[in-house]
Amino acid sequence: MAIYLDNLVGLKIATVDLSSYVTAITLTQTFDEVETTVMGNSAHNFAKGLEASTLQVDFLNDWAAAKVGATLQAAYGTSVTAVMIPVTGTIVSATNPLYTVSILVNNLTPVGTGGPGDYATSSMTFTCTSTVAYATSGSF
Amino acid sequence: MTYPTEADLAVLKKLGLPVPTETKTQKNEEQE
Repeated sequence: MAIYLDNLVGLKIATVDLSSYVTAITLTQTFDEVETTVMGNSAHNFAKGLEASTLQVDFLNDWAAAKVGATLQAAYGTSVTAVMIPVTGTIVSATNPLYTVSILVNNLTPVGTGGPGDYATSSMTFTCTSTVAYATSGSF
Repeated sequence: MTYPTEADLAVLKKLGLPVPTETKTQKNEEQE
């Protein structure tokens, strides 16, 4: 597998599979840059600091039991596990790795966004409260 | 990291979903 159509990304939050409601997802891995510039340097120097990743997800809302609304509402205010895979239904491997991270569900848009002609959607960015675990084996 | 965590289990209980009896551990591998 090399390049792939981005229509099979899998997402589980607190082990609940919400993949079929995700319209867009972005996991941004980043870490703080801690300045270590000292006398004698002619440019700013930085070292790796704490990881500060974020997970941005756009959902189509569904308030049915154990779907998007109920799951996020149950997780609101807590740090729960998010598991992502680029291509669901395909074995976890070096070309289809598994990403696992703890996210703080610190914001919700429970009634969604949209107008009379739109499906209700929610776009949320969660702060990651752990490093992002990258695994080439295991299961989604 | 190991999951489901206590917070994950709390969510499952609130949702009335079955709680898994086994945990999974994702060993973080060095990325090239």
